[in-house]
Order: sequence, then C-alpha cells, then structure tokens
Amino acid sequence: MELIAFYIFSVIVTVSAVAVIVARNPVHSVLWLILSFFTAAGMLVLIGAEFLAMLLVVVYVGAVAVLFLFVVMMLDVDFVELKQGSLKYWPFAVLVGIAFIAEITLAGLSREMGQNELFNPMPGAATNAEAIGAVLYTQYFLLFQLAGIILLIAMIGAIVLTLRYRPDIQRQDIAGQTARRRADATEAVSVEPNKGI
Amino acid sequence: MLSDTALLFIVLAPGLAALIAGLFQRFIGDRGAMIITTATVGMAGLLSMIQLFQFTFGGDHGASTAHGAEHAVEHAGAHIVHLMTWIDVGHFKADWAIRVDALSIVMMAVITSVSALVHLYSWGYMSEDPHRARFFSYLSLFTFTMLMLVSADNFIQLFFGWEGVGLVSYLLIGFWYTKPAPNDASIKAFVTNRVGDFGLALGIMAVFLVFGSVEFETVLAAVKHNDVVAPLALAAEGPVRDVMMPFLWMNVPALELIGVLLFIGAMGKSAQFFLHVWLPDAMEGPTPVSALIHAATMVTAGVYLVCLVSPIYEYAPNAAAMIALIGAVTAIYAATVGMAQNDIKRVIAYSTCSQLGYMFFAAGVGAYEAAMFHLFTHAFFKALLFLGAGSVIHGSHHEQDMRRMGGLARLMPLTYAAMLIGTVAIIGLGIPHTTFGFSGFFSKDAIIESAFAAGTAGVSFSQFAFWVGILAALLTSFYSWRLIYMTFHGSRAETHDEAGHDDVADGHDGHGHDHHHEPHESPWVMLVPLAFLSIGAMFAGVTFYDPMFHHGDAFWGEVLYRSADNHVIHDIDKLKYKPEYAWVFWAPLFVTIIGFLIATFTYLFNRGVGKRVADSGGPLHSMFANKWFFDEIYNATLIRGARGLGDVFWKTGDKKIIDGLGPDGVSSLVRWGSRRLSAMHTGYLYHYAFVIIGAALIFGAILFWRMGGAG
Amino acid sequence: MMDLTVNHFMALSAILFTIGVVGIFVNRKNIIVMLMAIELILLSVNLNLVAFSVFSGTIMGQIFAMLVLTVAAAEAAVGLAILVVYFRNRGDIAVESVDLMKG
Repeated sequence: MELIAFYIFSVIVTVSAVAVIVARNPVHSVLWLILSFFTAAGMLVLIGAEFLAMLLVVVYVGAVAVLFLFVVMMLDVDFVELKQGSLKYWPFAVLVGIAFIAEITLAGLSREMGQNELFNPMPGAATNAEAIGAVLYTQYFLLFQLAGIILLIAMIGAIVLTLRYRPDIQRQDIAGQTARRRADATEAVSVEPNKGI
Repeated sequence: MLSDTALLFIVLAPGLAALIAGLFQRFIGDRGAMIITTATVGMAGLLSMIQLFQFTFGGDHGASTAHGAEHAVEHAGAHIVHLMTWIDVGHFKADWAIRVDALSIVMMAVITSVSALVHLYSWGYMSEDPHRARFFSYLSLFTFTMLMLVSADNFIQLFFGWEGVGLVSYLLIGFWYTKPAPNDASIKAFVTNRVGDFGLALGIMAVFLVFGSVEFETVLAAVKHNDVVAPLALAAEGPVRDVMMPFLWMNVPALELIGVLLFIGAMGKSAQFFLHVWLPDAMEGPTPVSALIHAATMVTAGVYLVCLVSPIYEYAPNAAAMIALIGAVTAIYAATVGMAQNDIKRVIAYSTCSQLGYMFFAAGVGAYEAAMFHLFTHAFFKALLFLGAGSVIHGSHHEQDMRRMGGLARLMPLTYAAMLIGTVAIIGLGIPHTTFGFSGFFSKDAIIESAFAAGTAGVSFSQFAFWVGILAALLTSFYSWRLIYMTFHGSRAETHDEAGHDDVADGHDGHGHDHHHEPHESPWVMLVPLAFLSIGAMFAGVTFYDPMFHHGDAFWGEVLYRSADNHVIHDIDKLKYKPEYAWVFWAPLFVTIIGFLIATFTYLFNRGVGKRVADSGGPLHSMFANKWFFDEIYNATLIRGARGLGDVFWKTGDKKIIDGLGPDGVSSLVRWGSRRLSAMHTGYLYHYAFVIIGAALIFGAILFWRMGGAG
Repeated sequence: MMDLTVNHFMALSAILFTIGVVGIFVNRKNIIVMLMAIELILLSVNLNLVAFSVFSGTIMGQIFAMLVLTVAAAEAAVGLAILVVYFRNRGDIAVESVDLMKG
C-alpha cells in the first residue's frame, strides 16, 4: 500500500521536476515546482516525517515558490527568447545527467541494501514534531539560532539590495503629520470687506 | 721595550684619529682633522723611535719584561698584548693582539716615523686641496692598518691589516677621483693586489690545514722544532718538514706549498715581477701617499711577511729559490725600465720596485737580516726621494715630466740638497771596510755580499742574484743621477720653449698659483720632513749596521730564524778579509761610479744625448720605455681574456641562464600562465556552474575509484 | 511484496538531483529556471536526509534537513533580490551579458 503510494508520488514528482526544467513559460515552471514540492511533502508524510513535510509546504510552497512566481511575473522579460537555442544543450546535459546517475547508482550499489528494522520517524517521543522539538531546542539550539541569523541576514540583504530611494514619488510622513499643530498650518487674517486678501 | 699602554697607543691611536678625522670632519674642520691626525701619528712615531733605540741600544734584546701587565705573554722574544678574542670556532682561533718582536719594532719605527713626517709634509703639499680632512683620515687609517699588520700575532689579523692597507692604498691612489687616470690606477692596484691576496689567503688556509692553528708562535715553533703535526685533511700526520700535501695534480711538501703561496701574496703587495704593474700607475695618487705607502711602508709588507715566516722558508728551499729568482728579476727589470721613464715619480717608483727586488732576493738566499736592514734604510731614503720629488712637483706647479724641468737647483736649493742626499743614499755611496757611507751603502752592499756568500755556499739562484745585484746597482746609479740631472741641472730656457705647462698635469682645480710663475722653493712644513729623512738617509745605515746586520743575532733573536745549514751572514765575515774576494766588496762601489759617470756624460755634459737615444727609437729603449710591454701583454691576454670570460658569464650565464630561467623566466611563465588561466574566466555564470558540477563529478569518480581499489 | 525502503528514496533523490543538474545545463540562459533547478537539487537532498533519518531511527537528519531548508530559503531570497536589482539596472536578465567577472 505504501509502496504503491510511493510510486505514484515519485512518478508525479519526477514528471513535474522534468516539467520545471523544460517548460517554455517560467510561470509554468514555478507551478510545476510547487507541484513537485507538494508531492515531496506527501512522500515525507508517507514515512511519518510530518513536521518536515509541513515545513516543506510552508517554506517552499508558501514562501519560496510564491517569491519565484512574484518575481517571474514582475520582471518584464521575453522568456521565450531566453528559451531559444536551449535544444542544442540537451545532448550535453543528458550526458552529464547520465554520468551523475551512474555515479549515484554506483554509490548505492556499493553499500548494503537498507534494512527497515530501525524504521522510526519519532525516536523517543510520541510524535514526530515532539521528537524534533526535543532536540532542536536543546542539543541543536545553537544551530537553530544560527539558522535564524542566516534568515535574518538574508532578509536584510534582500531588503538592502532592492531598496531604493525614489525622490519622484510622494511619501507619507507620519511623524510630521502627527506633530503638526494648528498654528503651524493656519493663519488668522482679518479681511476687510470688498478688498480680498 | 715600551709599556703596554704605549704600545696600545702606537697601534690604536692612529685608527682612532682616522675615525675622528673621517667621521667628524664636518665638526672639527680640515684644520682640526689635520692637527688630530698629525699629532697622534707624530706621538706614535716618537714613541716607536724611542722603542727602537731602547731595543737596539738598551740591551734588553728579546729578554724584555712585561711591564706590570699580567695578560702579556712572552714567546721567543715576542711580547704579546692580548686585546680580545676575535674568532673562536672549533680549532680555529684568532685573537686581536699586539705582538711586538724585533721585526715589529723595526717596522713600527719605520711606519710611524715616516707616516708622521708625511703627515707633516702633507700640510704643505695638500694645502690647496679641498678634501684635506679625508686625505689625513686616510693617511692615519693607513698607519693604523699597517701597524695592525706588523703587530699581528696570527695570520688572520695579519690578513686584516694586509687587506686594510690594500684598501687605503686603493682609496689614496684614487684620491683625486674626479680624474680618470687615478681611478683607473686605483682599480688596477686593487685588482692586481687581489691576485696576490688570493695566494696569501690560500697560504693561510694551507697553514691552518697543516698546523691546525693560525698563530705565529704555534706555527713557527712547530717548524723550528720539526714537531709532529696532524693536518686536518689531505695529508698524513708526521714531522712537519716531511708532510706532503696534494696541490693541483702534484704531491708537494706542505712547507714548500705554504711558502710559495705566501710569497705570491707578498709578490702582489710588494709589486714583484708579474704583479708589479700596479705600482708605477699608483703614482697617480698624491705624492705624500707615494712616499708613505708605495715606497716606505706598504710595499715592504711582503718583505716583512717573508722574514716573519723565515722558518718556513728555511725548510722550503724551492720556495726560497723562487723568492730569490723573482726578486732578482724584479731588481733588474725595474732598473731597466726606470732608466727610460720621463715622469719623475715613475722613475722613483721603478726604483722602489727594484729595491724591493733586492730585499726579496736577500730573503730568498737566506739573508733575512740584510732584507730587513735594507727595508729599514730604504724607507728613509726612498721616502726622502719621493717627498723631494713632491717638493719639485709642488714647486713647479704640478709638472711631473722631467723633460720639462731642468735648472731647478738654483730655484729650490734645499730640495736639491735633500734629493742629492737621497740619491747618494740609494746608489749606496760609501767606502767598503769603513764606517763611511750613506744608508744604502750598508744595506745594499750587505745584500749583494749576502748573495755572493750564499753563492759560495751553493744556494740556488744566489750567483744569479749576485750578478743581477751588481748590474742593477749600475743601473740604479745611472737612473738616479739621470733624474737629478734632468730635474735640477741644465738651463730653464731649453725646456721652457716647449709647450710650457699644460693643465692636464695639474692636480687641482682652482689652483692658487699663476702658472707662469717661476718654480719656487717649498714651504718649511715640507722641508722639515725632508731634513729629518735626510738625517735618516745619511745615518740610519751606519747606526744600525752593526746591531741589525753585522751582529744581528742578538738583535733579531729567534725572530729571523736560520736553519743549521744557513751560514750566509757568517760567511760574509769569513770572506771579508780574504784578498781573493776583495773585488766583491768593491764591485758595487765601482759600478755605482760607472753609472754615475755615464749619467754625467749623457745628461750633464751632453744634454742632448739622452733625448737623441730616446728619439732614435731603438728596440731596447722602446722596450724599456714601454715597461717591457707588460701592460700590453696583460691587456691582450689577461684583461681581454677576463673581459671575454666576463662577457660570456654575463650575457650567457647571467642574462640568459640565470635571469632567463630564474626571475625573468618565472615571471614570464607566471604571466603567460595567468593569461591562459584568466582566459578561462569567461565571466558567464553557467561556465562556473559547469565547472562546479564537473568538479563534483570528477571528485565522485575519484572517490569511487579509490573505494573500488580498496575493495 | 516488498516494503518501502530507504533505497527507494535514494533512487528518487538521485533522479531528482540529476534532473536538477540537467536543468541547470538546459536553462543556461534563463537564470530564474536555473534557480528553480537548484531548488530541485536541494529538495532531493532534503528528501534523502529525511529518508535516512527516518529509516535509521535518528532524528538528526531531519534537523539537518531543516537547516538545508533555511539555507535554501535564504538563497532564494537573496538570489531573487539580486535578480530584481539587476533587472532594474539593465532592463533584462540575460545571463550572457553578465560577464563583468571576465578575466
């Protein structure tokens, strides 16, 4: 039963991964990428790593893929033109791919086939999330903090990179607005009749 | 003997004065530098003269006592003041020390007294030179290094002094460095001396190799007593006189080898045949320098060295024969060349060369006393001649060509008198068997007699040396009188109608004199040294003949060693009153008079003859005038060869091979390589990605290959 | 019938990884798809890590996977930011015109 599910998932993930790299429209690529992420998350659920599965969906699908989608749609680029001539790279790419597959297969064959006796997605805990939490906040606390710092830096980096000051647009000066008093903005003038100001 | 403090003063004070004059001339000025150096050296001269007289007539020969200094050591008549250890590595030990024995006492007296007089003389001679402080500093430095040389107690310190005087000689020959000729001459002197120094350095190495020590006491004592020595390498242990050493492709007696090598060093310094070429050119230096360094002191260092290591030569007959041969050849060679020179200083320079030849063949035949005695007297009259010539040059506004002189006797009578005394001293005027005679008479005749006595004993080349000595005495007389006649006699008119003075010969810029002035007598600061030296030239011989030569055993003690077979000095006494050998003693006087007469006839009574001979261009004359073509031969062979070799090493060896493969090659390889490598940096992202992935592939492949290999 | 084993996941990871690598090569002009291919590669690595973790009964691999995830997210954010800035300056994102690093 699980095996059947795995095969179905793996076919979907493979097909969608291939579609990511061959799609003419990058928007389609992103959508295929989302599909492959979803499927991968499903596979993780299949073997009980629920927390990672959810994380995958949240981070990859919710953030990264959407970011991709956003950028792709924002940039006004003729992607068809970019795709041109990619056909001539295929033989070489396939060659490299075969070489990789061969090496990885060799690596796989050179070790003993896996045993399932130790199968346990949540060692020493009731749930997978609990098991992760038990070590993440204790044993791997520093790594956890480090990951946070990496994200912070990435965030700052992205903001610094993309931020620019544009003098030609109007901005709201909230502090200035709230600090304004009536005396600053208005003036009482006594106007004589029939004279105007 | 003097106290240690006085000895220290004599040796070190000139060095200190040189430092002060050289480094602080800005603050003390020319006059300060002159006063300091002259006073110091004058004081040292006084002290060492006192020492000499004390030693000679005070009766404390050899058995001197250490004056309250516990670190002084007595060794075989030598008084050693240990200053400090210089080198102490393994067996190799060299000290800074002041070693005073009879030899050193004589040398110190000569050096400091002549140096003091030259210092004084230079006040006048160099009065117009803008670099007087430098000059006086050099003079004092020379005095210091020369004293270091003669007071060394080991070969290394001797080598220090040896190189030191070579350096100062170089500096002083090239003192007028703005003119090309002095520069060339100084380089020539330096390079030629290097050839000799190479021999000396090899000799010192051989000494260390054989004796395991470079200290004179150790080495000479071993030779004297035929001790068993254990050479460090190359030779087997054995009594030192039997030790054989491989050299080049031969196996030679170690003592012969050391003797020859040390003598090559002496040849260079003392301008002996083959290595003499620098001495005449050294006359480009200021005349006081010529008097001090290239006549009285430095050039005699070779004679000093040979006498110092006399024990070695006593047991190295072949090396001694070589010394006799080279010395004799130099004596006759230089005398012949001296006859045909026209530059007043060059005549005296060749005369010096010739007299050095005398000293060497005296040492070569085993009469070290005669050599040292002649060295002693020669210093005075040769310095006198040079300073007299300097006075002439100074008075006639830096004219050195004798053909443009003449009739100066009337204009500079005191100089003339001094030169006359110098001349009769050098030609050795004196009556045999009496005590009448000038310095040269006693010492030169002593040498000639020694050579003859050695000849009767069958010493190699001594017969040859004797006849050469006689002939050279004739030539000496001739060229010395020629100099006098050409310079001081005749009329001024016949010489003045020529171009007069040309400025090429002028040593100074901004010369204060009017060039058309008549020659004039020199100032008193130049005449006083002449007076002192005249006294030396007249009486040094008669005063010291007995103690230094005739009864020299007591004076020299064991310093001048004589082997059991060497009876040269005693043979002279035996021969002296035998009627059949009377001619030997009269012959020098006889040939001297002949030389005098020839010169008188040619240059005084028939003044044109000499010029006619020169103009006729006979092969003999041109050979003499061109110094036997030595310069030409050396130019054609050695200089050209060295230049060619240097070109090969420079252009092929250095530029092509070393630079080509070294710095230039590496840098161009790096540039070539980095240009290729930078071409790989296309800047395209996917190329980098490809490289990354390809590298991953290759690393993976390597990993599997290794794992597969491991099973 | 065979059970689900770690080998299944390894094979799938290998395939996904290779597809990612091939994607980089095929889309050498399109840097956005290149970035997506890199995400695919990271996904395959994550899959592998989690599979090893689960099948060996140790939680460590899942922690590692989380860190990889973090880095992937950061990389995507910064990479896309660079892309945006680049586009703003040049008006296109053609990789071929980016050769300032040419040696």
